Amino acid sequence: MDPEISGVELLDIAQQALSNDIVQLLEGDPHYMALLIGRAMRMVAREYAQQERSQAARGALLALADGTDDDDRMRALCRDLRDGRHDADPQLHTALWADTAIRTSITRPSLLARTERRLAGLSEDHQSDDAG
Amino acid sequence: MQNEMLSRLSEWLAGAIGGASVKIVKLQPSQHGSTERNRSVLAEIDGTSRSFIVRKSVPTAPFGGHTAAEEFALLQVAHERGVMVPRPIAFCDDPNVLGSHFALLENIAGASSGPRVVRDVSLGGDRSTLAQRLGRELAKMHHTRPPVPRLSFLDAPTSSPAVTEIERMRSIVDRLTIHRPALEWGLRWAEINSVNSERITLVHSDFHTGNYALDARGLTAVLEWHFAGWGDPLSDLGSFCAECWRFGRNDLEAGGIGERSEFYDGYERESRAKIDDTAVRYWEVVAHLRRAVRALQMDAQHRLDREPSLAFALNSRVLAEIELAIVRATAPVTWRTVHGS
Repeated sequence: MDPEISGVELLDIAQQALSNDIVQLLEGDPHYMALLIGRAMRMVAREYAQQERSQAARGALLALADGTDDDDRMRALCRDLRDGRHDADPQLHTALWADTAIRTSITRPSLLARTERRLAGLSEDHQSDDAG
Repeated sequence: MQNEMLSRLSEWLAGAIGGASVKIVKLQPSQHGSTERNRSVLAEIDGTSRSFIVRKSVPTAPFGGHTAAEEFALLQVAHERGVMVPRPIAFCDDPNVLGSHFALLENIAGASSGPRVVRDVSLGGDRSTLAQRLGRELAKMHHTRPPVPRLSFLDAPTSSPAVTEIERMRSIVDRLTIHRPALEWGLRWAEINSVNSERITLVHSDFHTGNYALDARGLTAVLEWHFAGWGDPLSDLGSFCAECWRFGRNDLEAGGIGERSEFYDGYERESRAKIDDTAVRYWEVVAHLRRAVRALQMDAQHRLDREPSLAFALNSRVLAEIELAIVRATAPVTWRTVHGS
């Protein structure tokens, strides 16, 4: 076992220390700010954990457009959408759904429906921790 | 510096409301709306304590929206027509008093923060009555039809407010040079599925939980009129019922505070018009698009001229959940072209 804890574990411990030991000592604006900091830390940890899924979902979306690089494909996809070349396109809709669901699993997992939780690799009874 | 400002404000206030003896006791950020715009003023006027809201003009270019003078005119019209708003008292067009033009409004009691309004049921009185009341207030607002000479600054009404709104949002996205496929998907859906507007009335355009104030007994004011204009009245109902403005209480479809049927009932009783529920649900999707575009604007503004702010940074991440809601609501089966409906 690697004796060094990972960055995500370190972030998690720091966030717990903030939530359990610091937040309760604060009032008013500092209390609110500490809650926001805790929320940002949890988000970063989830983003790291979802990196592979997130990249895969974005890749599947961009594969539906032509272009020389990702930025170019993103521009082309948006242009095609506006021009009506993807109206009611089920394949694109599925790709958009996966992309936005995985991004929401980072920012506010409590909003995900059961199927979206599975898609994002979260257990169905996953207790999201995005309050504050 | 602060004393000089208070002295100038006292002098102006004495002239504006005709008090013989005016003393400003306190000038502080208001608990309602933007702290940059709103100040709460406690004054002693001829020995009587009175409290006001000072609503200043701020640069609005990146977000659109009305100046303080225009918003004051809107509040006057709404107040005269019986809509519960902060009572407009006077307008100061002398920038030397507080550094910019400002409106003086009667202070209002209560809280307006969306999350608090949804969670704290000690606010607002009976929630079923509140949902009906909000429907009634909205219907009162919608009794106002164009033209109204005092509101000549509003953009002329268009025959298709939905199409106009989509064009407006696309032009903002283009100006920001932002490429968001979920947003483009939603805008295209809104274009294809756009509804015909049977009535054009004064609309609030930002009517949702978070933009009205409640005390323990009920509604005290409808706030934030800076996006009001001529439009489809059902767009305001859509905004109020949109999931993105329920603050986590998705089971309560009327703004996270009540049942949709109660809200509709209040509206229909006051307006004596039957609500087209399909059209309201169309406008709920548009409300999500508006909120996404507003978040993009706020993010752009924040990056341009502010010190790093954690609240703003977190706000930009709200886009994921709004876009997910847009994608969920616009599945291929709902597109009008495919099914010819």
